[in-house]
Amino acid sequence: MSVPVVLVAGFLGAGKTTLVNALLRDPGGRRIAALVNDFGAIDVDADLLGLSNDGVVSLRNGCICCSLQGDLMRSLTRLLRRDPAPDAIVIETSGAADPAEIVRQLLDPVIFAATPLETVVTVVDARHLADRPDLFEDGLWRAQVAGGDLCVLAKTDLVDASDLARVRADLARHKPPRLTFDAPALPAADLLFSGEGRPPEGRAPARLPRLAAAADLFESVSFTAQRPLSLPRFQAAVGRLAPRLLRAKGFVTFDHQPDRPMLFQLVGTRATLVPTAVTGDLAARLVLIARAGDLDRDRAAAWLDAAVGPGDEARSG
Amino acid sequence: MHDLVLSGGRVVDPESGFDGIADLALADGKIAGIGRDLGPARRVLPVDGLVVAPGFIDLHAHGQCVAADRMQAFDGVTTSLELELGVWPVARWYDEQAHAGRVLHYGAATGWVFARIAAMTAQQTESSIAGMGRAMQDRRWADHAASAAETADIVARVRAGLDQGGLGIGFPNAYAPGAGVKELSELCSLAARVGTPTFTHVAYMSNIDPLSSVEAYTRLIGLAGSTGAHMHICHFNSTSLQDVERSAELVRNAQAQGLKVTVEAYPYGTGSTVVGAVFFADPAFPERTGGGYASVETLATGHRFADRDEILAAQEDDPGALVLWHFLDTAANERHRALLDVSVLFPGGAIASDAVPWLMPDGTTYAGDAWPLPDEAVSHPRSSGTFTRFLREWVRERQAVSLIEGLAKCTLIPAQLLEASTPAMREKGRLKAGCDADIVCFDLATLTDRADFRHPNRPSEGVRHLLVGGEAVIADGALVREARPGRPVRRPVAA
Repeated sequence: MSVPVVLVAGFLGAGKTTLVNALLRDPGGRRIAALVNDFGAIDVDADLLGLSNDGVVSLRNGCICCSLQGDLMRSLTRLLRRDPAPDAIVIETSGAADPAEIVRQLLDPVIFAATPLETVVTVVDARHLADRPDLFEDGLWRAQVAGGDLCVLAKTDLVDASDLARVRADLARHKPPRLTFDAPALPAADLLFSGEGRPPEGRAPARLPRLAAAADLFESVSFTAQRPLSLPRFQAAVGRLAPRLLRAKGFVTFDHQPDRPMLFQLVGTRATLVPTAVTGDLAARLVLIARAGDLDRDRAAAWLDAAVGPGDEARSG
Repeated sequence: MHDLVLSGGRVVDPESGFDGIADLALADGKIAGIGRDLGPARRVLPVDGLVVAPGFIDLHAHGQCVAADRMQAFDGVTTSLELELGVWPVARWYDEQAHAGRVLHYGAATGWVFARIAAMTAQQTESSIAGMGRAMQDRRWADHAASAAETADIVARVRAGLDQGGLGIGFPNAYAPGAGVKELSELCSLAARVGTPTFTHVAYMSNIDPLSSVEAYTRLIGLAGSTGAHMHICHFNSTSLQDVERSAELVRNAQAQGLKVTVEAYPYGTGSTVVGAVFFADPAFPERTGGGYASVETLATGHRFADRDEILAAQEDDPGALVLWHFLDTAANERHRALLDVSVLFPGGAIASDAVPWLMPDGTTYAGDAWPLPDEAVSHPRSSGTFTRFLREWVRERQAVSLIEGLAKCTLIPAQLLEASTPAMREKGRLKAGCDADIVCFDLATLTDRADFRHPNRPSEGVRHLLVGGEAVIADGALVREARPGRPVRRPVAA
């Protein structure tokens, strides 16, 4: 059984620890364990995460890839071997780090099989941006925002309305507003993890996240197919859908490998396909989640329907 | 009287090309003869049904302690070398290993990066991945080009390491990307003068310019040409990403011109993102989505791009081009397997593990001698299973190379890479009279790696006997716990 991972990135002091604490406090039925990637040897962030000390493990050598890999594997293994094992893991990265390196490590197929990366969320400090607009030009800040599937805008209550509007407008140049959320707006666990907590064994992966139940904020569309899909046409459909979606999840089988169902996940503009064992009678079963009003159900269904059936190469042959 | 005769095995020697049933006689830690009726022996060990081959030589092993040695012993390794990071001071490291006792033969290159830490900062650190991590407290050694005076100091320290018997120069350039070409060029000229190879983890890892993997390889090849140094590329698989075919072409071209450029690879899928655009490039999926390829790759490599606005504008025009696809299915996907094959099967390339240390839950490196390894000790599965995985999948299951060709990549090729400068390596990696009795006997039919992320300390299976300098480390598939036959592999120490 694999344990999904959420990665929290963002500048020093942006509010990453607050977000992690919010996840631990309101985990949406999940047993969440936290990993903290300290900067240097000082355990500052781990101290701040005083809320649930036994859920927190420190990564120590945060910056360079070989030591990061070892530390990451050690820490993840330590969490996986807990009894009871966690249902989900949140990793708080160093504020001085570009999340790209840790993402790369998490995408090592060996690691991904046990602890699949689900969401990269970058916390952005509204107060800080209002005071220092030059941050928008900072290379590290931009790398962190670019590396996040979603952005959480923190400390909006510390900024007056006109400054906040300006910050939102500037931020929108770097991350689409549909992928940006105000920090206290909704339970973070439901935003960041795609499924419900504690799915019973053997259940098909495509479940409505609890997020979708907040019907005033989000809407969802289900899609099923009786026949395998063409991969290139599915990718084209996802390409059209992605600018309108928050996330999507489910399983898909493709016509070139009909016996090899794949777990599909999309968050923001990042899609993952990995082999999965769970299917059922259907060839595909997906749930698409969007902000209310963003998604035209009929068009979405039509785009995905167009991916069903043999691909062009099969048709022409 | 021989000490031991291994009788009736399938003896495979990549140097002579011999592959047949024969006996192998050992005496005084050396191979005494190969054939039939080799004369009396104190002990005869029947190895019918097993392959008898030279023990594997790992050019890239960071573990360097008893626990790491034992896991690699079950992977068929008899010589474990730390050539990429290297060590410094070199003499002290060899003294420490001799004092601690080692299971496998050991050796190290001169650790340029540790010389750099010493020359450019006031830090004292140990020669290990963890020590390098600790030295990040003052990162000038990683980020800055050295001044002329610092360069002279670094070169002097590296030269001292070579004089103390270091097997070459380790250039983990990716950890010190700030190092300048003038400094590297001085060090490569030094390596060329002394006649030792250099071992590089290239500075950049990206599929887009600037600072692409291709730029890094081109710089490395340039150093081979301009200084005459032998430039060895570490883990060619993991640093080439999707450009591995082009990178291999560049290396082959350099080799064809007589430049001393060599490669190694480990047989595990890459940790990097695999993007849709590449997937579309698979001939089986001709519906490629035209433009946007470069922007997808930009995102995929996590590169810090300056033209975010342009990319956002592109998103409006062609939203599909910006979805980043992670396709994590190396086992089933032909295209990914083909990319991994380019590095793993590179003609004349070595298999090398990049085995990393075994870490305990508190973050310390496991330095004990418990067997089996403690359950809580963690490493990457390649620290346990690189060679057995290669032989199982590429040789036995897929028959991508013959057994003798596959074994050459684990034995003769790494030995030849070092032997011009390290005479001791002329007696390793082959089975002939007078060579070291470093021998692995394995059951090809059942040979397999068993480590995975949740169980990294599962030893590989199928190695029935492993002899290091004629002494048994594995006997009948079980570890000989008291065995410490490992000896230093070292260049002659300067007077």
